Amino acid sequence: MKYVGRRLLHSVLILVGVSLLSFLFADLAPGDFYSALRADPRMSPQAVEAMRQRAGANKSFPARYGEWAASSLHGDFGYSLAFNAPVGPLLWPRLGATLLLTSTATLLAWLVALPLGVWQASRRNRWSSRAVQLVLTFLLAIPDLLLALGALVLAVESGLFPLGGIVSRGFSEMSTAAQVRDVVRHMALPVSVLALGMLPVLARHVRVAMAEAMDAPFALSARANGIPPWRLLLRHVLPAAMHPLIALFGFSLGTLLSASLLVEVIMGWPGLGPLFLEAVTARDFGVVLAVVMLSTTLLVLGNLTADLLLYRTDPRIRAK
Amino acid sequence: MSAEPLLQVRGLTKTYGIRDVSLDVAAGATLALIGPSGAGKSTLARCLAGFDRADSGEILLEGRTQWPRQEVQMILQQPAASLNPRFTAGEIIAEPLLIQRQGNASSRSARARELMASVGLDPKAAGAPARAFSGGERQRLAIARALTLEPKLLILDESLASLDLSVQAQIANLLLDLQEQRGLTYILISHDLSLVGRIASEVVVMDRGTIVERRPA
Repeated sequence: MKYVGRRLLHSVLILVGVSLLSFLFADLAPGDFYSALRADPRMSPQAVEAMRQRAGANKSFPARYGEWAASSLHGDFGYSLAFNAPVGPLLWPRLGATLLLTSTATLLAWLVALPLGVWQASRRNRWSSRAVQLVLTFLLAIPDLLLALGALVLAVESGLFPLGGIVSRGFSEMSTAAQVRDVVRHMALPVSVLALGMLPVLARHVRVAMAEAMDAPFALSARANGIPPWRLLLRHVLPAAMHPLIALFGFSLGTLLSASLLVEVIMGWPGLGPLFLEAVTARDFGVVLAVVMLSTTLLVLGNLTADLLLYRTDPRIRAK
Repeated sequence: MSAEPLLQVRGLTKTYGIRDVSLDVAAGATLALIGPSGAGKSTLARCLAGFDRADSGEILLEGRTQWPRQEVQMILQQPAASLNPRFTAGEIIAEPLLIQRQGNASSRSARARELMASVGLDPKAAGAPARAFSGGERQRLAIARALTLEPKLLILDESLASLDLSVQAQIANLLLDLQEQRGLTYILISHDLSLVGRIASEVVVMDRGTIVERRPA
């Protein structure tokens, strides 16, 4: 419990630190939302100044940070000047769409990477494993951007997949089964692009961790005792290889929000990606800060999950 | 007429390891393999234990070219690293029996405790994880596990090297006792000539992958 308490306190401190730094950098950045308004000849400088006053932009840094922090604790994350609304209600539906996309892709990538990496490690130095490695290296070299564009071409040429959005028109009139099918069809391409982007890295880590554990003396010893290859892999080697994989799993949970921003923009997925891009362009720092804080929160939660899993699975950490 | 040796090695060659190695080991004997690092001792041991396949040559155990894996067991150097830290002592010893589908859970557990006692470990510690044991105790555990399958030949690859002198002497005594009780045959790889003199009946000196000398201990 002491360990969990310490890790939780550590996580809270990271969140406070990141929020302070992000707020400071946003404050130091040249220009703000009002810079564009000042350039508009239809707006008088007095009107823009009055708007700044109303939004509290002239208050001191600690006062503005305090107000923003209090608002964030209530889930509002301040006020969006570009959308003229509290940030929270803008974020939540888009956050759901992003998490639906990324968690499905991450799950899919892990489900393929684990058996693939185990299989590769068990067939080291064989041509079949090398051929798979070649394909994975090729995939690793292709940027997500190119994969997404390729998926768009596939959607246009084949007509099998809808372009953009999360549901089709008339979604509410569909039966439940048709609604599920419709969402799955919309998700198929963006999920595939994201999963293909994650797969080579995950499979490589699984392969290397498994190969290292296979060379450990206890695995060699177990082989000498006639333990059959599959039992050796699953009962001896895989648990020993789990530590780096758990840390990687925590990291992939942490990147659930940030991993898909670019793919969402290109493929028209109504998640946080397009909103974030729009907010950056409009210098709407309220939205930008909220997305940064949500990403950090997920990263911290991912690391915390990994730490707790390691605590559960590694007797050496418990013994400390 | 002398009886057929337990182990016969004929012209064994493995690239970057051993060249045209031939030797016989009589049942119940202890053959020590000595020589500088890189002489090919461990490569020969790995081929005998079935970890590596030789490029050419022949290995015969009781005249057979193939034998069940459990008949030749190998104990490695690092006692701490050669036991799965996630397993209890009882699980480590009983696992080979489980693989061989010998007996039920309670009979396997009883056999594990019996083997622990035979190597001088407290059977009550069967539920303790391997990491809870000292270096010498772990090596006893490794021996107990190797004995589970009642091997004919036990290969000890620097198995006592990492132990301090008093523990090393205890394990050497244990090995001699087990050999007397069970008629075990050992191949001992070691750099420690006093240990070799104490345990081995015959010494084979290897250098650059070949046997350069063979003499009584």
